[in-house]
Amino acid sequence: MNKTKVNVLPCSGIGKAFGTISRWAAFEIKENLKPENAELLCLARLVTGDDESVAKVHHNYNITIDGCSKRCAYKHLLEKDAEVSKSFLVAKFLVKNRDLKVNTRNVSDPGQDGQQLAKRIGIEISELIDELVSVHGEA
Amino acid sequence: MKKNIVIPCMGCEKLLGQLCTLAILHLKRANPSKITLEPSISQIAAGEYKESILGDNTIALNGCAIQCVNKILNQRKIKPNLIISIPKIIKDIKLPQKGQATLDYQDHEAVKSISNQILSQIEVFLEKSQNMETKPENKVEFNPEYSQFLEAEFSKFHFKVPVNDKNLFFNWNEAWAYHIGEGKFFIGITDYLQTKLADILICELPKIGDKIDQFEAVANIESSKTVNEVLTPFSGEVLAVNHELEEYPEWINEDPYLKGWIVLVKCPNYKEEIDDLMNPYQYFEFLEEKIKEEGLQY
Repeated sequence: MNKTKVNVLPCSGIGKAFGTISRWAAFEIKENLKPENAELLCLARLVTGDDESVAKVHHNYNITIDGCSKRCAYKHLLEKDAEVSKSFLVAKFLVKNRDLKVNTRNVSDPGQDGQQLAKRIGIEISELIDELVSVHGEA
Repeated sequence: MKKNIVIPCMGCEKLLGQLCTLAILHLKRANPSKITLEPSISQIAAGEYKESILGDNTIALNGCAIQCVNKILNQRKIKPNLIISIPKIIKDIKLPQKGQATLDYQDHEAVKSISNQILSQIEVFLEKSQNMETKPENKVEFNPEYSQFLEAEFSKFHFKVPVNDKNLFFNWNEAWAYHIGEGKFFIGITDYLQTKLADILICELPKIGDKIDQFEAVANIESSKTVNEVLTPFSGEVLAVNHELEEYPEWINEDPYLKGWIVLVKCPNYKEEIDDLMNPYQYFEFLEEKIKEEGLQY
């Protein structure tokens, strides 16, 4: 079966700025970078066992963008027996992008550099989305 | 002092979920001391959830009609004190045009308006909680004795009519009243009316102490089909209201003659007013005639 869609599951956390950045990155992917191929999935909906969500994670590619090392999105996908193409961690991106001064103390607004980091994460994930869908010549 | 713990869905699939996420963060930024945020997922995975919110006000914040937070809390056997549903509070809010949220929506007017609406719902809830704590007499239990249920049929519908030979009365406007002694009556609507109204969404209750005349509106019910006034079978003063219906108006659909009771009134003139009402058998006959003539039409 050809897969042309890639589910992107961001973190649903609310205690750290990393969760906010993961959602910003997911929005950037869906809105600007890969609107055709990316599909955002609510983690809460998947956790409740919603039929539509569970079907999607079994039919499409899955990428998680977790905020912190608890990796809730990744773990819950595995719990649903879904295959995870790649699991990303915002905290690791922060280490790789030390030129950005992200305001990690402000959960609701990690600042301009936080937005910049989200865009960089989005670009890297978009490249992976291209790779995944191009396996079947759909990119 | 109890904390107000808001558990948002943090949705990202639909615009409303996304705006809900942005709004609750906006609210936290603007009023850091008024709410505490807890995630719907991560602490559940860690098994720490219930302990951390025990004894505080738990507020479920659902971005869309799927109501994931309610379901998650239900799985954990946690009953929220307040449920806020974004689709119910956006009636007058102008939403962004695009289907997906972007980083630009952070300071969108809709986000600020939704944030204000959430805060307003929390404040109304706190005020009501305070009133209930200071008026313990409002916490009343309704334990009627029904000897049997008569059943009338129409198409696929079955309408139940409970029987109590001495204490149960009905008016022609599909309201019932159950006498518990000393002129005190629990009042609700009939099974027929709740079926006709379909899914009840809001039950607007009177205030304790309100005085009402016989056959006047004592409550308003809004359903998926219409808005309906509940016309009281007895006059008198409102002694108690069923506050649970503010959170669970669907109880009127599920159990109109028990947990769907609406108000408790004290009627000084009840012996005279009873003459204008029907007993359960008379109401049953009236109902059967009505079904033949009207069915479920308005």
